[in-house]
Amino acid sequence: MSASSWRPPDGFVEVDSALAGISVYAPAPPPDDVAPPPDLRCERCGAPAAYAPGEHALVCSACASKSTIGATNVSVEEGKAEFRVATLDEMKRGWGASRTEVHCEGCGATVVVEARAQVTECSFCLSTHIVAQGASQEQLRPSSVLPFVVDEAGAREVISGWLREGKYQPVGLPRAIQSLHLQGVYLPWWVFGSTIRVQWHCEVKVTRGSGDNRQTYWEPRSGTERIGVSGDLEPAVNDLDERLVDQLYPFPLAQAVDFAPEYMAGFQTRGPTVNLPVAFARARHRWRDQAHAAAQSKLAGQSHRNFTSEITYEGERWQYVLLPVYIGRYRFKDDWFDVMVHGTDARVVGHKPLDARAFQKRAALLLAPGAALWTAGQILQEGFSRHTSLSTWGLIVSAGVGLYLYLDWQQAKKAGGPS
Amino acid sequence: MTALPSTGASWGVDHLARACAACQCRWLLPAPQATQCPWCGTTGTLSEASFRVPAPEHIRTNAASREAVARTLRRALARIPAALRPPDLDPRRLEDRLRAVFVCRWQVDSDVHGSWSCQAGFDYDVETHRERRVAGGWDVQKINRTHIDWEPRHGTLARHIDNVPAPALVEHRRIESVLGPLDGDDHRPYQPGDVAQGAVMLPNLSQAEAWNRAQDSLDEEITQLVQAACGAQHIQNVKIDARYDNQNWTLLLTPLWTTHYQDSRGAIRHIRVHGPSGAMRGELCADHKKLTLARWGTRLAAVALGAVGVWNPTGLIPPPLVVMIAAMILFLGPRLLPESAKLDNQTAG
Repeated sequence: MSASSWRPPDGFVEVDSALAGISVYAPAPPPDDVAPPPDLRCERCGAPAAYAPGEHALVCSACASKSTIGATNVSVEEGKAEFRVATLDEMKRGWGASRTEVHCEGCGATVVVEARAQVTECSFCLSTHIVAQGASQEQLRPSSVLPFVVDEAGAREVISGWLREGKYQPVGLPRAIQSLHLQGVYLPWWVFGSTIRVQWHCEVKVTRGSGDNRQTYWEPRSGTERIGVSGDLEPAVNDLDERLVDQLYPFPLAQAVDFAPEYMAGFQTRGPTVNLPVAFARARHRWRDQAHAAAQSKLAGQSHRNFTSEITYEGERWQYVLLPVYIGRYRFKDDWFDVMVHGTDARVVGHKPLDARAFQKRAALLLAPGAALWTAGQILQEGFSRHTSLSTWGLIVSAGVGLYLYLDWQQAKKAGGPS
Repeated sequence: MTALPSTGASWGVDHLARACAACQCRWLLPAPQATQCPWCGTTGTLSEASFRVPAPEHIRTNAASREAVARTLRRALARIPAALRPPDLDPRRLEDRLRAVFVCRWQVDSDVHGSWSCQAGFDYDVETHRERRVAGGWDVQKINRTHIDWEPRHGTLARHIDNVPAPALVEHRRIESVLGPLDGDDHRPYQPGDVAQGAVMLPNLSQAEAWNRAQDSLDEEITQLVQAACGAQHIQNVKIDARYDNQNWTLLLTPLWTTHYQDSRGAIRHIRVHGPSGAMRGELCADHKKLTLARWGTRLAAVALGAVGVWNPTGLIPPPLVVMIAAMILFLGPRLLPESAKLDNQTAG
């Protein structure tokens, strides 16, 4: 074939060659979909459109017409990247200076803000129809996103129901829904995966023989365990209440789709504030403790000593994903309380004030029968049965009720008590 | 029809073209040496031959001088006592028979036009960790591993490639496996004076016969060029669709030294020296009859010594000591007599 009639295969572009007389064609780089912001206006009337949770579509704020978003479901595992030294070095250099462009669909203004800044509305027209156009660094671009399924009205409704729940809630708490500030936010998470190889060594106590010939030895033992970890989530922001964030798990990562800016329309997006190596070190801390425990579990029931283990990670991979969360605050009396709603299953996690007087009333009501029994026994001074007096039964009932009340109070605090 | 020349005039030397009926080699020999084949050492097997081979373009540097080779041979020969050598294994004879021989290989220059495709491999470092439980804590070690990113590449090429090697001798592979490479960068332009005193082994593979190997070499060269053009550290699955034009075939000469002797069984044993590296190949063998006699003589002497020890006529030396010495001579003595001296680890120059 002559060089003049040769044509490069589809999708290949000419790249620099280090030698004269030899041309080199490489696969075309993926389109830079960070730079050009998509047109998020309604095709029919031109009004700003926003992502409609659960519908994979943009809905016009004026005429309510819908346009489907052409994103595909992705496996979060497939998109994971290796810990390339070059990428990590680049991150260390540029992390602190990363910026995000925020584009207002209402007035068309573009605002450049720090990637970590929480921006909920346009500085110019106060519209909430803003979209992050992308970070300045390619590696900060999320590879996939889990779209909102729950809309804001639904989130408000579940919070309202949540405020009405509870035995010890103060009177008037359900009315605090009126003070609720709620914002749908795509929060960044790092997703990690790896194969963990644990090589362990120890000495196990072995007894041989019987009777006078019974002897005990310490025999060396060793083994190797392989543990696969995938889809392990580590938050990429560190300024949220960890207790609440921990209650948001799990997220249905199987429903994640390729990152598309359309999903951000009408929602706020946060950039990572926790460095990738720092987040991975946290994940490894968890893994190694689990791996060490898994190795030790192989010796369950055996006396052993000098247990040591060496953990080697293989095929470590990471991915940067955006997960949907409604973040809100409501006011009750003079205090503000945080609340979050899971963006796909509408689970509510948050803090609630507890009314000590409500607890006291309930305690008094439930303890009354026991107290009455004890009092009756003291007055009558006669045995209820041959073995147990009436007063003793009163004490037993009171103690049982007291234990129940204690556990109930602890549960109420855990479910939403103040931080 | 013009008769083919039978002298080396076209090479600038007054050598004669000869063919050996014994080893099938074709030679360009100085007139005084035109009676004995420099390769197989037989006499009376050379006949007049004709040739039409262009003068060589390059000749490799000979790092082993005649004196150095002779000196190394003498040193090796000293390991075999003179009394045990076959009559023909004489340092003077070996030196007299030492001849410079030049072995040739083709060098091909060609224009290359066409297209290629490959998988180019690019190294990248990946950070990983190893953690060891030490005294209740964890000792974390950061490790960098190099992985290869394989990417497809396509392209065209329009290059001129010089001096791609191809064999010119049927025995090429055998000679290389024994002596060392017949190709190298340590060459200079050919001058007729370089081969004035030596014999040149003429090609017995034509250009057409050597083309397949030449094309393989050209493709290897193209593969290296493509890898360099891509800036890749690795390359695999290379496919080349090229046209090779304007070919120019020339010869590269590699100098060797060769000598020989007749062993005690009448066989001719060759000793060869690779000129550029000085590496020697061959074996200096003792006369097997003399060796057998010497071994039996040693054994008889040991038995006699043992008998004298037992008899102990003087009473000065304890008999067990004498018997022990006799036993050592009996068993070790014959083994200490050298059977041969291998030259494979020797380097001349």
